Amino acid sequence: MELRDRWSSRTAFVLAAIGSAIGLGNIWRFPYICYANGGGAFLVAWLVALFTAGIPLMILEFGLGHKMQGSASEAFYKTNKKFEWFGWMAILVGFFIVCYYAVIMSYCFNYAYFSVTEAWGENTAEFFNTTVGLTKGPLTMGGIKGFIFLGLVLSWIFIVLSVWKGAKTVSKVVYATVLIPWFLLIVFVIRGVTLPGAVDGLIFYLKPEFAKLLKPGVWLAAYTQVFFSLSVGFGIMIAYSSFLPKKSDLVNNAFIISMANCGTSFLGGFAIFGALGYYANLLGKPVADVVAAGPGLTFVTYPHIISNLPFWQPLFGVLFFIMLLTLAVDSAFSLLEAVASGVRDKWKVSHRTANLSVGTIALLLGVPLTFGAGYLWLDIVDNFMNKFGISIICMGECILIGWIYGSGRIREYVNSLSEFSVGKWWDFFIRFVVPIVLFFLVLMEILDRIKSSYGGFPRLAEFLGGWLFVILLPILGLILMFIKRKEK
Amino acid sequence: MPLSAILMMIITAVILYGGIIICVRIAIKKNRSSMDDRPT
Repeated sequence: MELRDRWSSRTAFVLAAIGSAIGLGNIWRFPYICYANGGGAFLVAWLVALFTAGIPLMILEFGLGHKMQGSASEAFYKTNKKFEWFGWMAILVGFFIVCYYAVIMSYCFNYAYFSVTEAWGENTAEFFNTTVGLTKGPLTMGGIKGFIFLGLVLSWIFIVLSVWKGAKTVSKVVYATVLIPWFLLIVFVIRGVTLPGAVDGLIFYLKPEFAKLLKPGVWLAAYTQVFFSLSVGFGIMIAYSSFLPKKSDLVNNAFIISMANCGTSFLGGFAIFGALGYYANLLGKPVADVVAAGPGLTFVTYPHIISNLPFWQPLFGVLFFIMLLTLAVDSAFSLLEAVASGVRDKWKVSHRTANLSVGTIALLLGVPLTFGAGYLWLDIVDNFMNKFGISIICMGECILIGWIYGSGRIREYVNSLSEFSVGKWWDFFIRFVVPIVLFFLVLMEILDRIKSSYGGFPRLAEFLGGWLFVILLPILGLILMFIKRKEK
Repeated sequence: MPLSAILMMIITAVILYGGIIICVRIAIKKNRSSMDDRPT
């Protein structure tokens, strides 16, 4: 009897995986990274990274999840019982990420509301600090911000309802959560590139500096961007592919999903740099002086740009934050689904029990981030989970599957199902290229952290918000492995 | 806008969006019965 969740269609699966991969990083990170690493020349390194690391890793996760018919923990358990803890580690990285991701969604909820009246006024930086109640340092917690907390609760209701019956519900929800932000992104691209001065911004975004391709840092930035934007390393793609029917293409889907994710990032750059060019023109400053990334771009610079648009400012404001919310929600619920499916696979609980219990724990862990210092803690956890958590998981996947389980077994499996095959080049990338690049990424990050603490934060805060979580990953993974599983 | 920037923009767009179109066309052509849009 068929018990496992199944996608309602191939389109639903592809959209769900694209929705998971596309997130806030496509809009607020990629354009800036591109500009800072050689503009158009960076695109060369980025495309090479996509085809030599991103897509091979995506195929690996799809092959593993589909072959083993289980979430990350279950899939690794089925390859070798001793590897289960590693699967839980991947799930835990996603779990820690969703705890703070929901807080960023709460910011978006609040800003969508503020957009109606352009409540941020002229000093958008000051307004953001007041909204999140920013304290002078992470060790000064400050008070809870009621509206951020309310937004967090709303975000979690939104996330949990989206995965209420697992893949069955997600199959319906993704048509809205992927197609709406794509449509809105196109609106913002058209709006951005038709603003006066937009060309200056686009030149900044795309003007190639080919000499930068000789710098290893640019290549590392390209690989980092690809690893962090494809939603590999959290167990999501393993869980999602396990919901595919037995006869399902894996390779072609991996190509479509990875290229759609990167295509969205590339398009996002036009919306962002078009608007930045206009903003620089308005202020009479060079684009370099107004360029921004991350929350600074979204909650400080962009609101100012919205207020200075020629017409329909509140409408564009609301649409911009709805776009961010819909971009974020499918990444968030895919993270929840990756955790919940791990819980369901091991302890055979219902969707409702798994979703509500995981969602409630994540909500409670997110509450401290709604305090004044929450934004600073969020920044630290985000950096460590991205730079160490995902890198270590992806590297471990390549070693465990590429070297111990046998990459050839996964390659033969995916080729037997797919519309076109991958050759032995795939094994080479999985066994050598990806782990070596990731090893250097982790090593460079460790050296950076030895030289100075992240963001200049106190070492104690860096340890509590960063290193502690990294240390907890294998410990919690082992604990979860040793908790007795429930057999059918 | 410099010609080199326009060229890079076009090449990237062709690789990414052209790649998606080719993959989708392959999927349609193969039209695997278990993978079409009928509920499973």
